[in-house]
Amino acid sequence: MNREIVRLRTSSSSIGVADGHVASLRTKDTLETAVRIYANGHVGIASAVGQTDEDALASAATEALALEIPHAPGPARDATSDMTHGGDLPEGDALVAEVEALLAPLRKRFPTFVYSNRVTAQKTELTVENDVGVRHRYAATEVGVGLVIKERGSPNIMDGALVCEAEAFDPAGMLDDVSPWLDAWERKAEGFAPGRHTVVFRGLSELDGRFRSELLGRRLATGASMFAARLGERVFSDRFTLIDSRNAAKHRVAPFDLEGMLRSEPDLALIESGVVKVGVASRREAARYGVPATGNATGPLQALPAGAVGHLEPAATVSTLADLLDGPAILVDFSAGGDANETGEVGLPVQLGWWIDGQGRPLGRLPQLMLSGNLYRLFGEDYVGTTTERVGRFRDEPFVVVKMDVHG
Amino acid sequence: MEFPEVDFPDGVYADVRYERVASTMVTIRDGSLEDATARSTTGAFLRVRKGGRWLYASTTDLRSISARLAAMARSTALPAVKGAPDVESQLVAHKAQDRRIEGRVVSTIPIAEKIDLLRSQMGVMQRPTVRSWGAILLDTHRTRRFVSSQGADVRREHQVAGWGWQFALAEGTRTWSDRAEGGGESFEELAATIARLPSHVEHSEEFMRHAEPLEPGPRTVVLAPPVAGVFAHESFGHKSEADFMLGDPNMLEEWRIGKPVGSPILSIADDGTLPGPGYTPYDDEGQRAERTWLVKDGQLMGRLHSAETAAALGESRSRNARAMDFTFEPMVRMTTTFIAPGSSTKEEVFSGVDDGIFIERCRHGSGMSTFTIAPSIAWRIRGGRIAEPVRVNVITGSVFETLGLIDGLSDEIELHRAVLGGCGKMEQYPLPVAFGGPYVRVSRMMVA
Repeated sequence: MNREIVRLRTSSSSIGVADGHVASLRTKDTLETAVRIYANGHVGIASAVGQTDEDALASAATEALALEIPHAPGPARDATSDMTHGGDLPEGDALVAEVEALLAPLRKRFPTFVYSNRVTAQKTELTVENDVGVRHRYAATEVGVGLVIKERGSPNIMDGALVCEAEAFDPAGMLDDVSPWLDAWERKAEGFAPGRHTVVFRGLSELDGRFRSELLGRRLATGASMFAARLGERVFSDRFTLIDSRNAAKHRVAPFDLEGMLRSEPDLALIESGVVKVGVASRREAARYGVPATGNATGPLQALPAGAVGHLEPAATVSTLADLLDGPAILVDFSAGGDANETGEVGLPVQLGWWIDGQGRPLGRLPQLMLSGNLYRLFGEDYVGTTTERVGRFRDEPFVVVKMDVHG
Repeated sequence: MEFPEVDFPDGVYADVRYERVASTMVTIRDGSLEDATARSTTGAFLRVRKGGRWLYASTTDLRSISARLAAMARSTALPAVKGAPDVESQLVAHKAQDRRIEGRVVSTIPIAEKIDLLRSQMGVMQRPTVRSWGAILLDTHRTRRFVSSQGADVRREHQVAGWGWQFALAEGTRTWSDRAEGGGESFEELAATIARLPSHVEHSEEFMRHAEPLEPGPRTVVLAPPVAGVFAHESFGHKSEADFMLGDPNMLEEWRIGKPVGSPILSIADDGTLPGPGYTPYDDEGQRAERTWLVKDGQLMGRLHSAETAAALGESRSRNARAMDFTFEPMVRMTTTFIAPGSSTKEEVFSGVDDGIFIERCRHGSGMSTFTIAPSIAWRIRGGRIAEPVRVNVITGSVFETLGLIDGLSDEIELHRAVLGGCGKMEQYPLPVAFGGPYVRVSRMMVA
């Protein structure tokens, strides 16, 4: 019988913003603990929120073995890590002052807009330990700015957003990042017409839904994935490599997963040079479905972890956005409600888009658009590339550029 | 005592929202039990109103509540502001109890019985077309107590139980992934609704075999009740949440009460008194629920408020301050949102369509000034009758233009009471809600 304990401690100070002013201060300090007991090819789990008696949880997890939840591989073994990202963060009135240092110039320089939602300074510490040599610790501090921006008089509930994630709060730097776009707000895009265009995305989140749902090891193994019949085949551009990263040296991610597994190589190519190579899987799924375990076990601590795609981005093909643009292009700032179906057909409403020049600077704001394409073509013959350059100082995402059909 | 009495500090408004949540989750995938867990968590969310702003904290240490409130009241982290809305005057200090428990208390039902229920349906998946599947059962039993420095003391108890079944079908070169779900306010209701899984799978098989892509373009569309509910929730419900109007008097004027916003046959309401996942007889500021008409006969009638937004905007308060759990503050949220029934029969709604689309189910929707709905099962309508199945990626349109193009409503409504998932707003997801409506005919929507 083996015992494994996972603890997640989260403490945060969060400033609520309404009408461009600090409206509230919220503090949280939570501890969540899960105990897993492995025995005879089964696993039992019990968890709690708040200070708890871990031995009592272990007893409850032992009782849960009676449910006979299969776990063929048992616990991970002999893996250790200790990683910290970030340092001290402001709290309480210090955080209030920092947030005011962002809001005050926004209100003054850009009074056309209403700013709302929140800024959060958060510390997390995640540990996974067991009695067969697993001992992991990952600690991170982060300031998350998520401000909804709304033009006064606009019929929309939101017109844009200021989103930043950083290890330290830098109001001046964040203002510098968003200012060019707010300055350009009133400029209408001249010279734009619907048709086929170069489209720039900040990261992959608008286009990664099908990759996340279909590049699961269990779906590939059972034939349920849209890529199952083409595993090992080149179905995308040979310049397109899609990486699931646990590289803590490059990204704010833990190097281990919730089963305590450490990858031998932190960057995993799910698609390599256009070839669908592998789907993500937990150790339990790997044993069950006969696929590689990829160190992607995740989920709420109340449940047993399951495989899911993590930090996902294409491998860089160039250095900067300017390397990819040979003229004006569309930059997608905000898109909601889009989808891709099982044949890869994509429909993407774009609520906020920009007409940008070849250096990525805003020329003017676009009307709401609908983008369409097919995933196989978007990352096939229509794939322009991905940058090493990040979309801003406070967002860990590259520019991803493709060709799409654009409808007014 | 589970939820201890509180010593409130002098000189400030304060309230405490206790919550105990007992939940169960069972997952079976491809025939194998993957997860079966039950957990009970008790905590409290504290609010202090000081100097016109809010201080919030959450804790699982219920012995420390009074001391923490006192410390929050002494805090100087948020200097006072002038002209802040008078929130306290919006709050009525109710003393009430509401216990809505149908059937057995779900947290007392043995987990083995819940596992057996899911296992009883596994045979439905023994079909040549099924490549992979996953089933989940989720139930939640919540007990709450809200107390305030004004003397409010509201106790609530409610439960929901739901199931979801995802499956991936394949036959030849055709594939289709779909999902069935159901549930309600008791394990017994959950067990009754899961009996429709076989017909759902058969229906999806037929769709996979015969559905063809549809040429994009504008079409007349009929929305099934659950889809109509998604449309109402996403396209108009969020727009009715008054916190989006703070700081924008132009928008408030543009959205003045009485303004025509849709077809004269259209009425939309939000109602926390309706049974189901959205049942909120008292909101998380202790205010008693009632129906709020958002649109009546095509005219803007009301908005959804918290005490703060009502005070800030000088409007009558609705009872829509809700929080996802005890670690979050309440914000303006929907409860059960629906399009009211009309005067046509279902047959009349369809017979009015010479060539159009029927959206029977959807995967998701979103709403800004443009709304989108991602259909899953859809059909062509020809000569007033449902014809062949069609694959549609997304339907979209201007919210206000579409509300004005509604020209047919059937005379009965259905409320979609799925327990899995919920509404997302900023960081708080998922919040249990419900939605629905009649069959809704829209004379023109863009189908892509």
